[in-house]
Amino acid sequence: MTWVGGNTTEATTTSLTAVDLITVSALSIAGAVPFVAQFSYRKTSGAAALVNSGGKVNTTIVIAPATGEISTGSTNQAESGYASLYGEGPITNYPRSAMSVAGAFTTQYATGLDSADMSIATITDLVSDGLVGNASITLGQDDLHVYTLTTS
Amino acid sequence: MTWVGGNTTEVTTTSTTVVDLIAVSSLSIGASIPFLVILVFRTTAGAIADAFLGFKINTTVVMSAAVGGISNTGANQAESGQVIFNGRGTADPYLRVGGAIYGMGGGTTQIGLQIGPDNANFPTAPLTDIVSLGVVSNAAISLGSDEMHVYTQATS
Repeated sequence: MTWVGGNTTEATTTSLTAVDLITVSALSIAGAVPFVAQFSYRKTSGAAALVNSGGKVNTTIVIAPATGEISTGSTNQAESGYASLYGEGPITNYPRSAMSVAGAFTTQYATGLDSADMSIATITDLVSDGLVGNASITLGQDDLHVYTLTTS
Repeated sequence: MTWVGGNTTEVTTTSTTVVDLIAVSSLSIGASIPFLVILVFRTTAGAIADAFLGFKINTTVVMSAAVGGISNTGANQAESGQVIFNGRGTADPYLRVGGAIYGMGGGTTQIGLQIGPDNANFPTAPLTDIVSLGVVSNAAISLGSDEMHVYTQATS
């Protein structure tokens, strides 16, 4: 497994609509190349509300920040979690060849790409996005790292 | 993590009984050696119907291609997704040391789940063959699997 990019600057939001948070650019993940992208996420206390994270490949949101996917619980407490996106670079007839696994406190979800195909030849940018359920709480994300695996 | 085998020839089926799909053979995964399997899978549109994917190790079905396992959403749409199957070579008395996670999507729907080995104990190591299995509930749709790779992880 080879590290191919990362971003260790935390980004936070109190936005009720999806915004970009952490970006890893200048990637070159070709079709069928296995990859793993991982990041930490957290929410603050302040209201009984959850936060949702999602993911964008190049400029396309492929996992919407939706409840029950990369989500925390809604208890009024600080929570943190970890998300892993496993995939293979876009493959003909397999445009959704990726998935996420996320866990935070008492929530854990495995999620397919629910928003759009990866209709591209090469992945150059992986972007985490997110939103909060109540502007009294903050979503933070940090330490997004991307790895590729060999296939021979 | 070391790549130890792969298969990049797609296999598809419209069978309503479980059949072998893509396989990686000639492995030699010894007792207690951690392994990771990745593959992609897809279903075509054609009917509101389910498709299920499972796994066989050597000749033993360890994860059924059945309800409650790895599946599409059932919607009449093209879908594709990713499966990760990890575990380790069998070491008595740890006989079902593995599990799968998957996610599949199409349109604006998705499904994802974690699956344990529901059908049988892993065969005695070494693990030589890892085979994906598949079935569809309606022959009007096709289930395909491709780009399967197997890795082992060091233990020291």
